[in-house]
Amino acid sequence: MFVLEKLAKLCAILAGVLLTAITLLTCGSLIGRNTTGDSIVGAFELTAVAAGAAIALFMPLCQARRGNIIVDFFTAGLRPAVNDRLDRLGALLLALIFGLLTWRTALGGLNSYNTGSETQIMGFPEWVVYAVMTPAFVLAGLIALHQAVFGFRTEEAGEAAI
Amino acid sequence: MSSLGLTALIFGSMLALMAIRVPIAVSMFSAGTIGYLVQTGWLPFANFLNTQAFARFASYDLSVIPLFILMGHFATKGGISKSLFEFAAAVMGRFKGGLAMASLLACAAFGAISGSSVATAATITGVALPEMRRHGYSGRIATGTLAAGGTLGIQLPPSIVLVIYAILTEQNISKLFAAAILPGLIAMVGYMVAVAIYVRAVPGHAPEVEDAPPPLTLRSLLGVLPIAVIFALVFGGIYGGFFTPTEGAAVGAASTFLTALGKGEMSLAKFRDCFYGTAVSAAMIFLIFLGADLMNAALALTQVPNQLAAVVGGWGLSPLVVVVAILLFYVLLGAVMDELSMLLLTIPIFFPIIIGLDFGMPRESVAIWFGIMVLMTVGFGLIAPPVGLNVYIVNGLAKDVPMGETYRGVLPFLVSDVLRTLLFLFFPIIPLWLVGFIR
Amino acid sequence: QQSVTLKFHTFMAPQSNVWLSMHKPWMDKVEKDSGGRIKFEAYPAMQLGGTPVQLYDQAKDGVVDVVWTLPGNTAGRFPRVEVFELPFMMTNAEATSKAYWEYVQTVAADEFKDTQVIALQVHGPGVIHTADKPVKSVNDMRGLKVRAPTRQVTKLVAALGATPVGMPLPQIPDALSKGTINGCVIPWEVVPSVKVNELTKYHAEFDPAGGSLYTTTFVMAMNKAKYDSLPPDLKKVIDANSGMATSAWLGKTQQGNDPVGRKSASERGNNIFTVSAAEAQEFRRRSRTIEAEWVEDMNKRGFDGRKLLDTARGLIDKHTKSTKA
Ligand code: NA
Ligand code: NA
Repeated sequence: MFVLEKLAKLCAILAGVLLTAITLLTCGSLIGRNTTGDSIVGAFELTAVAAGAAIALFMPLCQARRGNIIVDFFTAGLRPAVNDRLDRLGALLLALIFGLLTWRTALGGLNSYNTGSETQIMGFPEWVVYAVMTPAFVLAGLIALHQAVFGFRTEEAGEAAI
Repeated sequence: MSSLGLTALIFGSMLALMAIRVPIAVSMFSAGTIGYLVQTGWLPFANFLNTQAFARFASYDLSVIPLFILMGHFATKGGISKSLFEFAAAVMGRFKGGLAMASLLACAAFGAISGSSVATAATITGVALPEMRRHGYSGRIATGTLAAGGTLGIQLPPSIVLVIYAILTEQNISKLFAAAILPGLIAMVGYMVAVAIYVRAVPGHAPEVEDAPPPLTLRSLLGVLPIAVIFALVFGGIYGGFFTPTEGAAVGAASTFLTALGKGEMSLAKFRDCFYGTAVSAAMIFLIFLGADLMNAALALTQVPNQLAAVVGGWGLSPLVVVVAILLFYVLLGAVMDELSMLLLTIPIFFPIIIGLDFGMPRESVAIWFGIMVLMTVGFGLIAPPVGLNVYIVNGLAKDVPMGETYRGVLPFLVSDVLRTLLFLFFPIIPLWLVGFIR
Repeated sequence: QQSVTLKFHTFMAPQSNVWLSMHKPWMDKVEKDSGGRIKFEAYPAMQLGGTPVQLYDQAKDGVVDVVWTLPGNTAGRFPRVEVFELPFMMTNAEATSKAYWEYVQTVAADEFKDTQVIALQVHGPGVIHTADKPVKSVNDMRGLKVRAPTRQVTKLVAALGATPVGMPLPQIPDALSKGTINGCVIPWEVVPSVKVNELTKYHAEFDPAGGSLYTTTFVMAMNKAKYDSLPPDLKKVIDANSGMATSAWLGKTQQGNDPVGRKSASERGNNIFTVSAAEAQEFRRRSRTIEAEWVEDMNKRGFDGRKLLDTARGLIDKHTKSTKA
């Protein structure tokens, strides 16, 4: 788990840097647009693809920190051991879903690569995003699987949502 | 299986999974999968997944969400929220319950640059909770205030909930933001009044005599300057025609980042923490989006959502009754479900019904007003028992306060929420007034 | 007797002209021609998930059965088709749609090989809409911030001296009302849905005789396996509602909605004018570089770019003459 969590943190940092970079790039483009008229025309497409890669890279750490929220109202009265077993079941289901997503996203990425899909204005190749998403999903799935088999290492509940 | 049977199967499996602690996103994903598979078989479902994660995650409209979250973290770690609370305490300190009111003021100010209720609650709790406890506020009123104050993050623009509503209903984000300003300010004042009444009516939760308030110094004024500048930059830029609301999120995040850098409070370790925090929130929200996509596709295949508007229209109920029924339904559903998932599942179904009714207002006004009404129920649901996300967050940060105390602490604010909701229900002009100034 | 249900999926809204005057009637006709043995489940507004970018793959992979979408959404994937989106190529949507169909059949059939193509069409002439000052000459474009719909129009806007601004279509009203953009380039048909009639005052048209400013290509495509699985008589029904005639009808119908949008602007007293022949010539001269770039790009991809361009032009010419006659 130690290695998995290290990797998850690395992914999150990568994604954070990517997001920060894209905000600075957007600002640069906006300053250009409102002064000299020079701007990065497809900047909004770059924001979209960068966000896509970043969101996928955030998945592993979210699962490692148990950030995916649950409803504990109906099971509050049960013994902790029962709740633990239910939580492991949830992690197992999540591992299955990430397995499925890895498989299908890899296929989607291959298709995108073979057909040469690009974003409309900038012509940014979309397979690059798929290529980032797929390994991130593998890692998220492995973390969930580890939790399902060996239980949860930390009680560190994530802060999340709207 | 009949359409209605399929719908029951999809919703039933989702609720059943949720009830046994399966993460909400996973419950939705699984229920959607079951519904999809039953109706189309394996191959269409599997091929749907080939592109769905890309389609949902790499979406320009939704890219504001991770940006708003990142911005919140930069503001917290950069010491901006601390300065904010110090300033608010200097302003409000002289009143009874002053620190609780200061927390609300700080929540509102932070909420005016953050789009997230949880980010606001967590951020201001970090600085305000220790101070309130140190000055003798009870765990009940301290945590209740912060949980409710956090919802100001979505009640005031920018608001992730309004962004999502705008995308789901194809409404103008700037107009929705404008519509939220007055209701958001009324919410803040309403919460302060709730505090003032509560600390007088129920003794023992706030110090009888407030300590002498810290002086309103130049330093504390300078502390809030960055927030004011960022706010002016983002909203001036959006309404002044320099950039779109979506671009505004990037400007906000970048300027918060630069401010934090400029204050010299950021270390590499703090940056790391910002990214970790953003990761947990953003991933969790987008996994819910993905789950909702599967649920919604499976529900669309049953054709029930398409027929529902016609069925309800056929009942000939008065428009206001329909709205009240939907809002009550949201309160019930929000009791067991998280509000984001609820919106993603129901707005595509309910919105066509609402927009088909005659309220004696233009359609766009109806859409904006209904958006604000939905926002009210979301705010309510975030602090209402038994599943109030904000209560969880704040209570999780207050290790010595039992959950039950926090739920007791939010009661005065829930009363305030109900009164405010009724106000806008009968006076749509309050939210719509400012919208009138936008072309 | 075997009957079949087809899922029709598109991004168009259920109240849009395209849905009401093109998609619904097409489905109705197929249902009727098949004696009710082909039925459609209609899903407008991306109800079955994904974004417009995913539609073509959804048809290819059998997630749905029939889609209507823009090849330009995934630009690199249908490079040769983009010739019809070059500036000043299209004349009218009916003739250009016929040319588009014939072009794909003769020189670009493999671009759509993964699906059963039902129709290939374009929309009516693109028009320049501006808020505060009319665009009567190329020089009037200088300094304007203009939202452009496609890659080629983006290049065109830049070549004309304006600043192209990229944003999704639904953001147009907001951006226009605040001056984030000073204008946009869209066909008349789309104007009322994004309130461009209310938010701009000047509308520059071009005489189609010299080619219209631009157009966008669309494709209606069916899942191949689904098509192959149809009994021969139902295949015939689909065939009878596919091809050049159907493409021409879709193009003509879409351009037929243009006058409604145009009227919505003229009724408000907006200034609608045609760019003079001499000035239009200057617009065309400036857009040459974009053509040259496209040809170069095709050459790089291993096609004969010049030949493709000439073929497309020749076909548009031919069909424009015969359509008028
Ligand atoms: Na806010
Ligand atoms: Na709730």
